[in-house]
This record gives sequence, structure tokens and C-alpha cells, in this order.
Amino acid sequence: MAKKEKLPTVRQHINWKKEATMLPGYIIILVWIVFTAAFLLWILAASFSTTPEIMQGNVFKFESGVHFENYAVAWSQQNVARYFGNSLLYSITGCIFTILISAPASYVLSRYKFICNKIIKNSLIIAMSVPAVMIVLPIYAITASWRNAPDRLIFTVLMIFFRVPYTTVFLLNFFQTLSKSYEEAAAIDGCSPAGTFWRIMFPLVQPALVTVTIFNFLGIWNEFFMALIFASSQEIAPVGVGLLQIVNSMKYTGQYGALFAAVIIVFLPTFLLYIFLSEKIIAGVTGGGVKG
Amino acid sequence: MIATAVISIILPLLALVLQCIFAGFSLACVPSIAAAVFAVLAFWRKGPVLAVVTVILSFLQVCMLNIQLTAILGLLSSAASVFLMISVEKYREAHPELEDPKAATKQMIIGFILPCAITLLVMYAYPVIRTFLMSFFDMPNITAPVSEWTFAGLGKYAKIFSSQSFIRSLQNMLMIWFAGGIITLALALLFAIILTSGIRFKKFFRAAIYMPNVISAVALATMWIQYIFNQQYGMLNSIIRFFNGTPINWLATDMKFWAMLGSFIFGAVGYYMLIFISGIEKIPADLYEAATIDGASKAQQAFKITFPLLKGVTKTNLTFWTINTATFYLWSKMFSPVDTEASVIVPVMYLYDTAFPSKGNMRADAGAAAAVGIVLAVIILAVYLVMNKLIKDDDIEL
Repeated sequence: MAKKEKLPTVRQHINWKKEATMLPGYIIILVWIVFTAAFLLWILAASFSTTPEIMQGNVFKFESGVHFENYAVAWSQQNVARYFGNSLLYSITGCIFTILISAPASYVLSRYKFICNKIIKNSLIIAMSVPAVMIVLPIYAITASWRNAPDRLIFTVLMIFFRVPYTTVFLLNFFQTLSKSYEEAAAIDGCSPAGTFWRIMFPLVQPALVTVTIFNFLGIWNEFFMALIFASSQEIAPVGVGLLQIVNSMKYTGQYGALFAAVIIVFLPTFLLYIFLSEKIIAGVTGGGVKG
Repeated sequence: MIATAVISIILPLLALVLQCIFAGFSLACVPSIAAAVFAVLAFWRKGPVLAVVTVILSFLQVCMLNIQLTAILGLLSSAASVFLMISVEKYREAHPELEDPKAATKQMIIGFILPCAITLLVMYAYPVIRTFLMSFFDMPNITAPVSEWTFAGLGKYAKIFSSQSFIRSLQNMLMIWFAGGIITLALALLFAIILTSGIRFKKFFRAAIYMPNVISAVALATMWIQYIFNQQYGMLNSIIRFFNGTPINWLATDMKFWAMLGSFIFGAVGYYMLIFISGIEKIPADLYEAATIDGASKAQQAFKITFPLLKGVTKTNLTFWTINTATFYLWSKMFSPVDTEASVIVPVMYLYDTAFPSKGNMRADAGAAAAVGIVLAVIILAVYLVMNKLIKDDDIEL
């Protein structure tokens, strides 16, 4: 991130007077960021330390060496591998199917006139702000009757359905901005309307698809309330619920090093994603969120 | 082609009949009916999109049919519908005269919108209506069919409002909304103003402050509880010890709520800051230039230009904050992971404990849980309407 901040080759002269008036601003922001960095670094250091070292509060000295085995303990003994795999499965399949449902719907909603168009668009916007607590009880009743479906499938389907309104509404604006001439040209060349969508229009909104998929990935990876109800057993729990179970069992295991290692493992994927894509994510928050 | 169509029409119907005989008619039968109907349509109109929908529906029926025999039939019908899809495609290739541009467009619209419409109906419309109805009924458990419900009038609402823990949860929610709201939005606005004042490394600072929103909140809460608030080696108590103060038990009953609120605010500020920044950046720069020429100080500019023009985004932020507090759950759960504690209870937590009681001696009361959901939805709606009345959108589109 900091790389992008490098000044252009012709060095600008720093206007110290101007910078001085902003000193209070710098101090406030820096205090906040130093605090964030300090505690993240402490957690990282703690994840390489032994429990006694953590208890004494000297995690940065590494007197007994760097303990990578904390990660091994967390990964295999404390089941993090399974939670991690579950979360990856939910997030990846969830993202793919959400796009497959939402992108075509968004395309016809934004470019074709038909009877229920307005109703569906408005329902999607309302559905986006329906809190999960309004829908979990009946959905629990429905899924309880799907006895043949594996539990992982139920949770995946719920996550897909849960992301569809947001994704569809997010993509509406992007499909609207595409020129009508693409469709006309494709029709002259004998391409079917559905083929036009998949071959031409779908690839054209690729940047928006990437942005919305990042948000869907983060949303499913971090999902907690629904996961607690529909995927709370050890076998199928995603990372959030899994971490809660690890914290609850800390009283009996007492391996703080492994706990912090588990925290780092859960924290890392979305953090890395953010380091590489922060610009895109931030643009997506203010571009998609406000218009809603 | 005719053979595959007949098979993919008969198989779901057969599954449907068996399901009705052995398990009775229920919501699980709907995909079978729909799969059969769409198989007919796909054969009749020779529509590839309709055939794709048939395939999706027949896979859905495998998930929902709940007797092994019918599930096997469902699997067979899924296979048949895949063959139907392939043969429709082949038939169309052999008969290019079928290509009617208008009909193809219509089919595409139906095929493209249907999965989304089904999602809306199954995941939103039906559950919201059922939750609403449930709140007026007494039922043995959540999964009980409607025939076992007994009408309770407003009894469930009376029950939750006479429950001490629910009242406590509402008080906590109000406290989070009010105290948390003021601190979060004030900090967010402060950061937004600093970051838009021409500061260096703006992009890095912005990204760093927003970061907690992206990582798993469970991981973030665990970091706060296990490190910052830890009594022995925690960051806050280390700082207190450094200045020779007496360490505080941050997670004691009387401190817990504020510890939770503080850590929640830390994570939330970034999001509201981004929305304020986008509002500030849309204010035309020449307003500030004119003000500077007229000799207005930075503070005056903030009060006279920035704040009045931020009404629109403030409304957005307040609405999001309200939804955020009404659905507040994760942080409460992390701060009282095993037994719900009165100091951090919030309505969603009360709902969860009512619907899925963890202790054996408590009876699940789905009606009361639904009533909590309805109360929360009404609160959100009311705040939204009041906000729309009080804060009118400006003439300038922000």
C-alpha cells in the first residue's frame, strides 16, 4: 500500500508550514494506527510464543525460540484445518453461484422492460435491508425437513440466497451503463440473446463482478449469526464459529500460543486479500453501499 | 427427444405422488411440481433456457424430498432433465427455422429472472410473512406445521415485554445506539475531515482505519478479549501498570458492557468514515476556495460548509448505524460466550436463547422469538421513517 504513496520522480518541495497546521490531524490518526499496529504485532508475536511467556507478558523477546509448532497444534489438534476448509468451500461455491444467479437477473432487470420488473427491483432493495433475525426461524423450519441434503449443502445454499439481493442490486448500475450497440451488433451476427449475455455483456462488467465477488467472499467468510444456527456442529462449522469453539475450550486446554495462532490463521486470508485489493474494496464500499 | 421429455416429466411426478403418499403434501413437493411443469414447457417451446431451469429444479427436489425412495427418483429425474437439455439443444441446431428473435428474448428474460425471483420468494417473502404470523401463535417447536399452532393474540408480545431480560436487552441496545452512535459517528467524521484536509499518506491511513471491517469480527473480538482486556498481560493493564496505577478487571460485570462497546466502536468507525469521506469529496472545491479568500478559518469552513452539506450522508450513516445496532449480536456473544449475561444481552441474543435454548430446563418458544424479530423490524422501520422526515435531502445531490 505504501508503495503507491511514493512521490513522483520530480520531488515536490515539502511545505513545512502547511504540514505544521495539520499536525494535530497527523497525531490523532497516528495514535489510532499505532494502536492498531501494536496490538496486531503483539498477537502475531504471541502466536509464536509459549503460554508461560504470554502470561508473563514478554512475547517480543522469543527467549525460548520461535514456536512454529503453535500453528501445527492449532491447524490439526484444534480442528482449524477443518474450519478453514469449510469456510473456503462455503465462500468459493457461494461466490460462484451467487454470480450465476445474480448477473443474469441483474442484466434483464436493467436492460429489458417486462411486467414485474419494478416490483422485483424494489423487492430486492427491501430484501437487502431485511435483518437476518426476521427470516431465520422459518428457514430453520424449512431446512429441518431437508433430511436428505448434507448439512454443508444447506448452509451453502443459504449463503448463496443471502447474497443474491445485494449482488443483483450492486450490478444493476453497471449493466445500465453498457451501450445498446453491443446487443444490436450481436443480433445482426446471429447471436441469441442469452448467448449475447454470456459471451459479450458478462465479460464486459468483469471489474464490477470482481468487486462484488470480493464483498461476497468477505461476507460469507465472516458470517457468524447464520452459521451459529445452521452450521454449528464441529464437522461443518466455518472459521468464525470454529474460533468461538476454540475460545470456549481454552479453559480446558490452556494453550494460549495455539489460540493466537488460530486467530492469525482466521485473520490472515481476508487480511491478505485486503492488502492487495484495498483500493478496490474501498471504492466498492462508497460506490455500491451509499446508492443501495 | 420425445422419450427424454416423457421421462423427465414422469419421474418428478412419480416422486411427487410417492412423497404425498408416504409423507404427506408439504413445501418439499413444490420443486417436483415445478420441475415437471418446466419439463413440459422446455419440450413444448424447445427452449434451452427452460431446459436449464428444469435441471436446476430437479436438483433442488433431490435436496428437499425427504424419503430415500423419492430422493433416488429425484436423482434419476435430474439425470433425465440433463438429457432433455442436451436433446433440446440438438433439436434446435437441426432446426434453425425455430430461431425466433422475440421468443428467444422472452425465454431469456424468464430463465434469467426466475432463479432470482425464487430466491426472493423462498428466502425473503415467505419467511418474513411466516415470522409475522408466528409472532401471534403458540407452537410446540419451531418446526411444527401450521396445523399445530394455536392462536395467542398479542400474548407473545405481552410475554416478551414482561420479561426482564428482554427489557434489559432493549436498554443495552438503546445504550449502544445512543452512546456508541455519538462516539462512532463523531470519530468517523473527525477522521474523515482530517483525511480530506490534504494530509499525506491519505490512502494508507484510510485503508488502515477501515481494515477491521474486513477481517473476521470473531478474530477481532478474540484479540480484544484475550489480549487488550486481559487482566494479567493485557495491553490496557500494562499501560496502567507503567504509570503505577492499579490494574482494572475490564471483563468484570460492571465494566464488560463498556469494554464490549469500545472494541465494537474500534471496528465500526472505518466504515462510517468512508461514507463521510465520499460525502465530503463530493462537495465542490470552489466553495472552500471562496471561503478561504473571504478569510474563513478551517474550523469555520467545517461548521459553515462541510456539516450542513453532509446532511444526506449523515442520514445514510444513521440508518446504517440503526440497522447495525438492532441486529447487534456477534460482540455480545463473544463477550458472554457460554451463558448469556445480563450486562451484555441484546435483543438478537434474547431471540436466539428463546428460539434455541441451550439449557435443558428452558422450553423453546418460537412465537416469542418471532415477536422479538418483529419488534426489531418495527424499530428499524420507525427510525428510518423518522429520519426521512427530519433530515430532508439537500438540493445538491451528494
